[in-house]
Amino acid sequence: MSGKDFAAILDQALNCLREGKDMDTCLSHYPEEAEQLRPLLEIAIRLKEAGDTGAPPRERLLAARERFLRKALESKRVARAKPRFRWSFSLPVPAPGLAMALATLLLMVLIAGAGLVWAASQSLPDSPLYAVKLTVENFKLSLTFDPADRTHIRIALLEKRFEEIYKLSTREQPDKKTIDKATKVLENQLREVFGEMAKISATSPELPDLLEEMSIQMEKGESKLAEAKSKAAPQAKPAIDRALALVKWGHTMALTAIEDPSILSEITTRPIFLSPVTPSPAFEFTPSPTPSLHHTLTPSPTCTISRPTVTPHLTSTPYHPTATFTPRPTCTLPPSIITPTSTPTPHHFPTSTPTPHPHASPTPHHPTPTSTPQYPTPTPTYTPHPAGATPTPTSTQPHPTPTPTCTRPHPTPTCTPPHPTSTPTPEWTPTPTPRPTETPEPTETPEPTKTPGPHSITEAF
Amino acid sequence: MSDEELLLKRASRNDPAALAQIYDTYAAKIYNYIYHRTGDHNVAEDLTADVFLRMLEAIRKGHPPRVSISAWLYRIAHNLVVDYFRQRPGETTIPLDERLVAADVNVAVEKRLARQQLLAAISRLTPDQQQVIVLKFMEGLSNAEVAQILGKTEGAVKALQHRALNSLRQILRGK
Repeated sequence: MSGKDFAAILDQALNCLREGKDMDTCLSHYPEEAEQLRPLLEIAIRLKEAGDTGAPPRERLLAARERFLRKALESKRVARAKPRFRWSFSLPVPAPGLAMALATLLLMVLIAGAGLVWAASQSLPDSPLYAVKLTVENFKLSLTFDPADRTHIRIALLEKRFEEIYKLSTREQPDKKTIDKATKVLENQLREVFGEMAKISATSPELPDLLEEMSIQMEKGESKLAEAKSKAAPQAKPAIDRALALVKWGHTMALTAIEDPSILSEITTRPIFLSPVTPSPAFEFTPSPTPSLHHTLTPSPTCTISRPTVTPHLTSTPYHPTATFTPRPTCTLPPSIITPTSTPTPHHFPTSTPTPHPHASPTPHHPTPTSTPQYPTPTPTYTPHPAGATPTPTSTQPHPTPTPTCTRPHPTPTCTPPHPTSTPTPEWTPTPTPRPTETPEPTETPEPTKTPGPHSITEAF
Repeated sequence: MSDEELLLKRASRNDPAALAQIYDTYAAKIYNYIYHRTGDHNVAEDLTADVFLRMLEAIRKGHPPRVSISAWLYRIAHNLVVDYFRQRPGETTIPLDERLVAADVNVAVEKRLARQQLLAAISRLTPDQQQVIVLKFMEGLSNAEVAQILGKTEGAVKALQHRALNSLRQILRGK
């Protein structure tokens, strides 16, 4: 019998033992080779017994496990720091002659084009080559078909956009419009990243990783732009702030999508940023109607949000509001907060004739008159209430109340409404009756300086 | 896609959960394998840690295991054991523990002594023979699995196990 045959018989006998049969049973199948097989099977049994050492001491593996997992996390961070570009395409192999011709052509194109592509890769949005740069990037993307891989690439490309904004911002003479243009490109690419992610199944194990990667990239972007802002000339700072707001929004969206991936599809369809280059109605704060607290005599608005603290001086000087208080309503401000009433309900009827000379010292949210003004007539249009008193609207007129309609993407609190610069400057013209010796003439009614029109979110910065 | 392929795909993306799962599944097996090759718990502990760190390194460099995780890990373990003995020319075989030999004979000690003798004998085999003995008889892997780890055919594994058992018999008989 050849060695090969015996090796096969030995293997069969060993399998027989593995199946749990005893040695004699196994040897009975090979009576001729039994004598030769027996010592080898005995060793096999001894080896099996020696191998049954059980699990290794737990403490020996626990520490190693910790080290391993710590290292794994480090590796993950390193891998994220260097996103891989993977191209998943293949071309048919041409015939040798054609291959040579193609190779020559390709070489020529490469030599001619390499310089151009390199120059384009260094270009910034104000360069004519910038379009080439974006085209090359898109070409690379077009060669990658897996949404997860494409997303990796797109996330990596965002770093270039941050770098571009940084370079534009830190020039000696930064151009606000160019920075805005770069921000617009960043905005489009952010939208594309989220759009790409929306194509990946919400249950895919890759999605949380990608979102986390995105979140890390946004963090890097924030610090890059913050650095740019610290170095930039003052005129560039508003534009950098707009870019920074966009990146913060992207960061928040990534973090939110980790919890709820369903918002990804929503993000892609929702306008996310109002670029100052091409304003759109999205993200606007529209006070409606224009606040107009410009009532003479009546009505007296009882604004609970802001009211100047009235410090009357009992002189006969007509009232001159001197302050221009600027309320700062926020997006969450209920519109009902500022509710002027048309019919004044005087709480105090002045008994003497001195004309109040209130010092309208703006004290937002704290309408605390230091004293009760004494009006010459029983129909004052504005009656300051004692501290802590609650104004009681008696009727409702068309509310000259800023109604912030702030539409913004969920849930970034980047929407800060504009400041209606002079809106609730309550003013009134007291009509003194009876007249004192020096008739208090309301000399002029300070007009609200400006009716705030629709503002974009970018103006909040 | 099989579970292992899925696990491998996740691991190659540096997914910590997948890497932890691989560690928990294979660490004890790799430890035992190395222990059976070296006869030293401390060495087994250190080299097991090295095996998994090498795996991480390979993943980071973009060379994750393509087929079988276990085959890949055993192969790394084998290479590390070979390197270990190469760096210690005087320690190519496992010495018998003199304390065990001199100890009072009882069942537990007898068992340990028998195992120690066996490990010492195994350590005198060729590296390929050692691998087939440990993997097939002590770790209980199939011919196909051993063939995958060794990069040989199943027929070659059968021939190798025949030669290994014969050699081991002669070594043990000579004692």
